[in-house]
Amino acid sequence: MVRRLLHWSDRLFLGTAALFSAIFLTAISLQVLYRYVLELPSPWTEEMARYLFIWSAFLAAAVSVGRDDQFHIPAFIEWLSPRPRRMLQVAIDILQLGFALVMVRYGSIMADRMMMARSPVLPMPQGIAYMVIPIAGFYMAVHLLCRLLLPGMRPERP
Amino acid sequence: MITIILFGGMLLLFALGVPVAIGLGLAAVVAIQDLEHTNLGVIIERMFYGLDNFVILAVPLFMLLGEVMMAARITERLVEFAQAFVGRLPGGLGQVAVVSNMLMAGISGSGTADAAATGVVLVPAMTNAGYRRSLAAALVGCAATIGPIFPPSIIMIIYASVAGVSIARMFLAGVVPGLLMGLGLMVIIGFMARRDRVGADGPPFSVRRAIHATWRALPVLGMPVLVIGGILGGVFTPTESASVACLYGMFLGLVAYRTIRLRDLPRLLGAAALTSGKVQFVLATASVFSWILARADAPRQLASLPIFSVGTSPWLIMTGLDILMLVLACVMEAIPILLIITPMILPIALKAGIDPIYLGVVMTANLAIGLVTPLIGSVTFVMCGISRVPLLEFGRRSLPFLAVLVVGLLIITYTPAMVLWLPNLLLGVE
Repeated sequence: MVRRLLHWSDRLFLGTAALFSAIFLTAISLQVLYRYVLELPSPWTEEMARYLFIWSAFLAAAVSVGRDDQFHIPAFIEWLSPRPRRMLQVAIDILQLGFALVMVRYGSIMADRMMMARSPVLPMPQGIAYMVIPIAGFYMAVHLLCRLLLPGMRPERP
Repeated sequence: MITIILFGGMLLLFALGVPVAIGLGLAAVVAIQDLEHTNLGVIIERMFYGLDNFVILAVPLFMLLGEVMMAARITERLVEFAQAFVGRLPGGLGQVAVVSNMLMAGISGSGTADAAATGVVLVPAMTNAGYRRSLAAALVGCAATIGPIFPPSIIMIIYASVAGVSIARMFLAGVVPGLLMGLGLMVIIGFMARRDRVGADGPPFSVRRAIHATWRALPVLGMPVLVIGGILGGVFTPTESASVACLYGMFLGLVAYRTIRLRDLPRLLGAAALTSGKVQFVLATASVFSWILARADAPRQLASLPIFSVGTSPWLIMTGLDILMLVLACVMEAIPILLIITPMILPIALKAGIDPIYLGVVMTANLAIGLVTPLIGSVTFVMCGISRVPLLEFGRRSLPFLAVLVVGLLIITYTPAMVLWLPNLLLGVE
């Protein structure tokens, strides 16, 4: 049940990240079109592309934490025998959870503070761009908590 | 003190197997307690600024381009093109593998994408022609390391944005080293073929066939012209050129060759987003890490150590860098190494009068060779996956080619003039 829910929420997160990449690809291409074909300036495309990219990057990063598909150095942990390896994996997940919670707590403080700051070009507060950090941190924390508390939830490392 | 906490914490966490991005972040969380007038909010701010950069946007776009090109199965045309020209040389298909990878290097920005795209076509073809499967895999894998050295290059884009140098210059500086590595591999393949009395396996050279293959490959060969030419001609910024290349690649796959369908696009976008998300997470926390290092004045302190005094020869520094990077490449992925080492080495290099472009090319070449190390190299994993060859067998078969790549690396390291010749010729001396 939880596994199915996480599977679908992963698809939602990754789907949104993919959609945002498609939009920033379009925005940057439009920027070229505006400059050479319509000979108009397009001040908003660059900023929009940057913000969408940041959203897309953190959403996908949250999924990569959930799938345990990140850059890491496997030499030591793979050298251990199964029992200490499981214990170390739990310790690593707790450490990861700690960082995810830093992202949630301080990310929401920063996003809140940045709601006052107008974005340089787009008609929106910068806080909206920052909001993805606590969201991604929260989603990482959900994945890590499920893995720590429920049996059999540890993903196979790809 | 902060520097010790940062590096000690990072090394400990990495060694335990904590993911690189989170290890960097946690080391920063601990070290920041020692800085005055800062709170943890700054971590979020730096993570954000680390990605809030239009240049870095080229990275996910080049990753998407890699996915699109692989799905569009453009490699067959490049292989056919390479075959028409170098198939008759001693070691025929081996030469074709190197040239195909050099062509792919000019299109994609990543060695791993090149290895996957050329490996699925070439390893079966070479095995059918009588090559040992492990030799075919090792050869294609080593040839794929030219990918990040030859422009465009994801590693170079990241270096340029961290070091604050021009991407156009970096790209041009990679051309001659990339060609050098490729020629080196072609020479040793010819040599091995002579020794083992393997004749040329391709059909005889014919002008007709060459023209036909060129015609078929022409739309694909237009890609490097579009990307590199566009950047150098000042038509596009690097990020814009990456997005135009993505659209062009989609056009080739969807309309011209009909090898991808519209409904494949979400899957390609998702795969590229996930790979990019993994990299960007490291980029975000590494920028917190290097910000704290800079606040603690660590790079300057390191650069003022007696071994890096003004009298130290640049050659000594560069040799040390080669050794350090090759050792690191045996335990860590390319991009994390790049993000951690660049802010430390740059002040030392500048003080010793080392050109930052040349430094970047040498680092890229090191990281490229690191792609085929047995423990962690991502090209190794891709090739062993495609060809179902055990890691050790792959490592053993790649030794002669690795030796050539390392000789190439040393030539690049000791002849900065060769690296800087092309950018200085086309863009003027800086």
